[in-house]
Amino acid sequence: MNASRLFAPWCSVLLLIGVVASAEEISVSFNQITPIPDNSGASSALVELEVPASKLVRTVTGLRLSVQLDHPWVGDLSVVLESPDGAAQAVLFNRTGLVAAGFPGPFGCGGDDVDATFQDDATLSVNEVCSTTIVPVLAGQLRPEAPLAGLYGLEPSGLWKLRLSDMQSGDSGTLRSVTLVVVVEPDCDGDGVPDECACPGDLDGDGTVGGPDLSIMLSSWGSDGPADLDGDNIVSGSDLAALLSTWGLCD
Amino acid sequence: MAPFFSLHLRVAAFVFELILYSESMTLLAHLLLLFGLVSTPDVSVKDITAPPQDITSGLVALPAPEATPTISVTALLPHHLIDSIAPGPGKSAAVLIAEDPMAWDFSIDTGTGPFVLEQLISELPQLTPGASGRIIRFTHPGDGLQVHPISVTPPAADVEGWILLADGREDIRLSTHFGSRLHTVGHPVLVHAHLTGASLDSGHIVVRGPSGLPREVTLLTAPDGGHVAMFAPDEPGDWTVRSVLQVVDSNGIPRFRTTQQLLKVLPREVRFTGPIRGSQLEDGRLELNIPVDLLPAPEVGGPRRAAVACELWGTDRKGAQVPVCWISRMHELPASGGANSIALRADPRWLALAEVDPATLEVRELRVHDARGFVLLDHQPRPEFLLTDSVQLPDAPKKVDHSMCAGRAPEPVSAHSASTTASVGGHVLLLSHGYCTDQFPFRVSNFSGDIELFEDYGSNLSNDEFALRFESYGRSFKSMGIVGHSQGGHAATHLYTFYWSALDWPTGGRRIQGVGVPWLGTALAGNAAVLGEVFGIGCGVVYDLTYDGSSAWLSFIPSWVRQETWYWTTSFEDGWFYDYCQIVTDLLLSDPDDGTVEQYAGQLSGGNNQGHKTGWCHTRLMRDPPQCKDADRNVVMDQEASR
Repeated sequence: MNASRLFAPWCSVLLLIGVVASAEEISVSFNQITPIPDNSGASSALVELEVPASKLVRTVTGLRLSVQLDHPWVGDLSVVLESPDGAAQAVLFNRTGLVAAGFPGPFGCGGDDVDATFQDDATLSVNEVCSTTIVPVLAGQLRPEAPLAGLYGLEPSGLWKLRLSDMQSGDSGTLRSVTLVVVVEPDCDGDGVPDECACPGDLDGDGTVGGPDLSIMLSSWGSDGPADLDGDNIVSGSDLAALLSTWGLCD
Repeated sequence: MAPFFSLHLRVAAFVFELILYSESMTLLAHLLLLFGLVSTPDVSVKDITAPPQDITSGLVALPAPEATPTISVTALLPHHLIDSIAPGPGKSAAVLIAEDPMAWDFSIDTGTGPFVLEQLISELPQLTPGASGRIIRFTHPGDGLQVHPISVTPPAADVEGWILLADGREDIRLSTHFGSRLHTVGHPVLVHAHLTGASLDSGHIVVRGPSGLPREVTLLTAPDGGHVAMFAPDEPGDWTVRSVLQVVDSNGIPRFRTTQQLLKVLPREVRFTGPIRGSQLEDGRLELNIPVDLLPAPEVGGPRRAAVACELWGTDRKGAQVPVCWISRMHELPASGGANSIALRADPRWLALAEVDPATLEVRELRVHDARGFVLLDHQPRPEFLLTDSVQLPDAPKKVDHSMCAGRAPEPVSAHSASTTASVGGHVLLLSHGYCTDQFPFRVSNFSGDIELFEDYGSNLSNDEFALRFESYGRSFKSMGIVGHSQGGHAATHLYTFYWSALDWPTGGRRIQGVGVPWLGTALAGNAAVLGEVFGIGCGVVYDLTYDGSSAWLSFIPSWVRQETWYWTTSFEDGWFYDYCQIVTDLLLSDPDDGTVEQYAGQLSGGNNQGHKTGWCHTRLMRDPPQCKDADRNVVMDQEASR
């Protein structure tokens, strides 16, 4: 109760700041010119995109990937996004236009270049846009070969990998840039399903935010630790405000 | 290579069936045939559109038959009909065409007139491989008044020989053409003959069908002064029509003029029936459903294809009738006969560009042609058209997009529907020979980089069949440009027009290049057919290469394809009096020519004419070097080609 009183005057102000995060977009980019050697197989080029770690427990609820590359025969290419833990992956496109006969033919779509954002809610599929004359042939918003939703529910932190593979001889290319946008939401219970993190201050896990939690926080004041509720690597006034804002019984 | 295998398999299966039929082993043969048919890969067909300018310029209009006549200043007749020559100021020669002409007594009594400098023997690969030509050539111009007896005696009574007579009176011309382009069984064929520079003494036509019995029909004089004969072909196949006119010149000297034409007659496999119904597809395209009545397909002979086309017209905001676009598509007809329908599709952006009210749309010049020779099967100038729904138009595009011309790519394809281990790949320049050759024409060392040689010697292919072999060949490569000699140019253009293939993918430079391409046909096709009946024909006749066949085929080639085509013509080096590439064919062609293709007939309207070069002939064994050995041009074609 003392603590409550003590910190009561701050409370109304700090509540406006809020610490219970809602959906957030984390954007990471790669902008190095990188060759895609001809017919170089499964990992012609590998791009690693680091999503920084956070003290907050989060989960992926959305993904967009923008790719810019020059290649005179996009039907040579297979491009796959892989999760940081390597356990899941999504195929953005895989030798688009490849058919045994007819058009585009046994070598896939012969169009040039990619300047596209791959996202699940795009109207056009990457396999619907082959053209002999439109450059870049993969352009605008495109629905990937496999849904990016397959990577949802994962912890976002770590090295995301984009594997580009040139699977057919005759043409080589250059990767120009990649931008990965990861949409994250809090997932305090770590089950891969976003939740509201209603009791971030319940440091002892007893279902209430009270004196024992305050003690834990004060014991680590000025340092890092589980009481760093806002993830800024130091237990400070903002963390205290967060704790006080949820004082009492958790929902 | 698989498509070739497939094709050969089918042919082999058919032959096998014939061989084995009597041995009660047809089951095996049928299995082979079936396998061949099943393994034939699909070909993706384009929805072709030509802009309205192609309609107004006449580029995609089927020319009237009189626009593509066969013109002659010579006569080709059985030897016993020729007994003299009165050489005039032009090319004068008598050519005995026989299996062994040197065994004949063949001479001209020149008296004191223009003397004969040389006698030559020439093989006639362009006309018939079964005979040679023995030429007696007048090397000085005559006055046309001196009549010289010709003595022609065969070594035996039953030996056949024909005389090609050029009397040097090139002002006396016979022009013949058919009365219509509808050449189907039972449909009457009118043969019109127009004579200039002389008056008709008597005339007739000799027609001969596939079964071989010649029929003679007298030419009647029409009110316009022309002459006309009529016959009704009673069986499908290749017919020859010889027009034979005995004429009298202004000096009272009798002369002959003849033309030799090939006529391809088909069963009327397709008939348009009922009104065309138009509706808008989900993707916005306008679809025209054209009801047709089909004859059942012959039991053998492979899939039959037909090219269908029509013009779309509408009323614009000012109330004027304007062309919207011309649309076309190659269709594979079902084997079963009876009622069916054929669809043509139009991109609605053309309607938006023309600013026409869709409710005012009209269909005009609906026609269907057989793909092997482009024989007209049916034609309706103003068919009834019913638009079943209202049509939503998009905004008018700022410029014409390629997809508006070639249609959209076929339905979305799965990335996993085929193996990812295609065998060859690469971007190549495909060099191709033409019709019925036994050697590769180009000097390959003039070309560099990735080149491929299309070698299909001794074949007799329609443009469509030839193009589909290119398509099959192209499946081994990511992309290809084509340099085609002679009919190879037709085939490349045909492929780019009608089918999606590796030829759609090359970048930079010239997609199609052609040398010595008879865009407008050649007179040799008809003459070869006539002589082939007597002496045998090497590879068979190709109707696409006649004046009639070429012009019908060319009426399906829109401007955007022609713009992607570069071509050259050549002819002999002109010298004193007269020169030639091939001394016999020169008498059948209008100068200048390359021994096979006349310069005028080597022009592709709307294409990229790279000029005419003298001193080069069509093929080897001609007087000047073969045009495909011209290193200067070959190097240019190599450098400029897209791959």
